[in-house]
Amino acid sequence: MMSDPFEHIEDYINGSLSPSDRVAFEEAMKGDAALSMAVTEYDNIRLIALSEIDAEVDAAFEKANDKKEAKIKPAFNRYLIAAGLIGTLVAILGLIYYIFAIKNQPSNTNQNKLLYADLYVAPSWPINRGATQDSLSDAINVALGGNMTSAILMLKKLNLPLTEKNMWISEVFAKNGQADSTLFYLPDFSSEFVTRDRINYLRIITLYKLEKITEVSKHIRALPKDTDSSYIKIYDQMKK
Amino acid sequence: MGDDEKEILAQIRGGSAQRQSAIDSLISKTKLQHDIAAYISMKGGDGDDEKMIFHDCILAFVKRVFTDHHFVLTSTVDAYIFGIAKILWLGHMKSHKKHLETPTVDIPEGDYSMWQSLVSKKETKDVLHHILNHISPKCKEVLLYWAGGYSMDEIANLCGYQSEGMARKKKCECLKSLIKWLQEHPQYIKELKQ
Repeated sequence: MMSDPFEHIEDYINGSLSPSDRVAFEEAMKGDAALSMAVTEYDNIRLIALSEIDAEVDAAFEKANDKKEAKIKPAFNRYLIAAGLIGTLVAILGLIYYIFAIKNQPSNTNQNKLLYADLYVAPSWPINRGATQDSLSDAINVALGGNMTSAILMLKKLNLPLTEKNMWISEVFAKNGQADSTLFYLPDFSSEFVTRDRINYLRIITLYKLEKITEVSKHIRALPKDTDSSYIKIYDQMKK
Repeated sequence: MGDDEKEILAQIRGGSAQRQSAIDSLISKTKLQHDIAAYISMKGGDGDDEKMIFHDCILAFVKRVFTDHHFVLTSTVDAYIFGIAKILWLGHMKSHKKHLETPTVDIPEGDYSMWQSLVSKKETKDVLHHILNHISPKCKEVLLYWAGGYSMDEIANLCGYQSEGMARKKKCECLKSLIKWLQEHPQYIKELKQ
């Protein structure tokens, strides 16, 4: 008599049981649905049991993939951090540049800003006044010809009152757009109305050129009431 | 067969930890993986095909070595697995009715079905995986060796039982337990049959 029939499933399937054991096994199957199923589903049960290999191989592949990702992730994270730092640095530099540019941008730099050339009106030069033969005319001629160094030397040698001499030197520099030199030689005042207005005018437009707007406003407010209307028009333009 | 080949076959037929080590070493064969990928790519496969075939040929190789105790390698492990990859790819092309180029190696028709039978389809795999989850780890181990055709002496040795009799008793216990579960859940057997 055989022991547990479950121990002899392969022998039954392989046909290696003795005839008596085979009969006994088949009898046992009739009364045991599980044993019967073990025989009928033998291939599927083996398939189930062997699928543990599938699970082991799958687990190994997953582990290998995890390792790959673990290698890639830190490198990727480092790349992200580096990219983030570079991005932040660029943003900070951009911000600094923007602030710097805004701060140093002339406060009145706008489309309405008048150019110095728009404001500048030449004086009545001595050469146009019929005095073409004197030294002053010669010096002005040289200045208008572009030779400033010689012109200034000539003007400085003129036998004129210092205020008048400085006025012409200032005029020459003003014509040439040399703001600092214009202001340096510009007389403080003149008792003669025309010259007084011209001095104020040169000071104001030169300060405007130097973008010293507060001073420009201050000087415009301090103008004598009888200032020539032609200058007042220019100042009104500047106020706009 | 070289010592390395003998070693890897012994590992696959050995205990769980040894087999795991063998599987890990097969998976880490980067040159083999690249060669298979290049072959699949050359034959019109994409990246997913390359991964699938590499996975399947490793699985088929391990299963074949595990279940065929007389199996011996007639070439290197890499060359043998590369051969399996070619067979599986041709089988895959056939089953998907894709354009089949003339095989570069002469593969007997029987080889297709033999190797493909070692690789479960996705649907079958899901069912098997579900059933397997209801078996205890110890029973999984014992039933695996039983299904792999190992003797009760070998099972006792590999699974750490003191005697062949104890291994046999455990195998019967596990088998009954599995059949009981399958009787309670007949839909799984039905799905496997489909």
